Amino acid sequence: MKRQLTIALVVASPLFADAAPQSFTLDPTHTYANFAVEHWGLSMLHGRFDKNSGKFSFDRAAKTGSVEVTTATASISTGDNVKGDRPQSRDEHLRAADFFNVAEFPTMSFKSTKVSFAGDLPASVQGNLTLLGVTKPITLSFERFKCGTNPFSKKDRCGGNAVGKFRRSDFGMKAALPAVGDEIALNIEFEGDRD
Amino acid sequence: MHALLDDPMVQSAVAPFLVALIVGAALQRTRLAWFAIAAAFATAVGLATGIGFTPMSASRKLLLLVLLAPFVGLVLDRLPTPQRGIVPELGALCGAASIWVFWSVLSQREMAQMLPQAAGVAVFVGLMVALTLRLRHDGAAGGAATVALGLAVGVAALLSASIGNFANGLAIAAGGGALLLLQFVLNRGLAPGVIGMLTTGLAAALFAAATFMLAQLPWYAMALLLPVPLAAGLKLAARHSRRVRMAAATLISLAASTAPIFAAWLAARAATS
Repeated sequence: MKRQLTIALVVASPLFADAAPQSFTLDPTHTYANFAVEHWGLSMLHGRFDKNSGKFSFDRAAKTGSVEVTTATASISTGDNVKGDRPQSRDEHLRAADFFNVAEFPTMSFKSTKVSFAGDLPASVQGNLTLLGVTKPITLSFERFKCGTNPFSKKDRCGGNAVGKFRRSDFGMKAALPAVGDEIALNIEFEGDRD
Repeated sequence: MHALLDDPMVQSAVAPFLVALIVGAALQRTRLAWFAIAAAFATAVGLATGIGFTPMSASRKLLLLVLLAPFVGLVLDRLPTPQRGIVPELGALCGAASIWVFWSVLSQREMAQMLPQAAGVAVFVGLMVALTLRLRHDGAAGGAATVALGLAVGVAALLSASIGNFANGLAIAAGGGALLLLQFVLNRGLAPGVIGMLTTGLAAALFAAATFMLAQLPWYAMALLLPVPLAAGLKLAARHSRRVRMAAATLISLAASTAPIFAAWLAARAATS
């Protein structure tokens, strides 16, 4: 009986491994917080934050998970960082006190409160976005969430992208409204290796 | 109307000027006319970003202090004269308050950088407040200093990558311009009192310090703002009419304001070359 139980446990152990929470560390060279905002009602300005770090985890069996991301606000880039004859470039202005005020608030962060699943993969994550010292709830939906193997480290690797929207005025960022839109569309592309 | 109020020049100059003119004209028979400076600034902030105090960032602490300044001045103006000790004490208090304003930024810096910056900003703010308070009995000099300081701080901020403090400086200049115009038209001085000059000195000093701490204003451009109230206080011979003295004080102050603007321009030019 004891021997049969041992064999059963060994056979079932891969299933238990998948049932355990899986924890991943974000790969900073393959994780980008992209954003888009309307300009003068004419076009969408696209930009991104280049420096992001954090962790995510999920448990397929328990249908739970967590996400924590910290972004360096000074890493913002919209492709305009040479001021020429202007007082400042657009990227410099975005780092200034009018917008992201990076001298006072060097980071912004997202911390999840709940992860919802579709099947055995995360479908959306609810959490709190902290920007300019203000914390507000936000929901991000996973458009893609896939897992595979890192061909170099041979570790399990997951990645995808999560999208969501928020109003910058909710966080006290009201400069240049309405010429620069209030609604910010987020698209966070991410990858991470299993810990 | 909505589109007009969204125009940055309307928000930072035209509307503050009109509000200051109305407030100054309505209160010109009282000691409260110089509340117009704080009213001009509040108008600019209210139109641009709205007035709020959470979270209490450096910009919001600055806003709070500038809006409180005339009320502190109201109390101090009622003190029996002479108020000899008031100038250095208020200067020191404002210098200390500037540390509180910028603490969230200072505390992130290494000690070797934090201490001299904190000391420098505190001394600058204290001196600016003390120098502007010397003009509290002279409406022409007070108005001239307010216009020149507002313009100097605003243009220097624009050149130093701070659109917000450009707008703030313009609003103060617009308020000072409205009170100068009122005095010119009425041919009567409106003494600023501590109400007016504490607001002007504290606002100009904190806007400049904010541009230094949070943007790219070099420290020497900030220091070159200090002669502006000194220039405004130069006495012309009493034989000249009030209007002539008012115009002269304004021109002399504006001339002094070119030095910090030039310094900021040189620094901005060096940064691009």
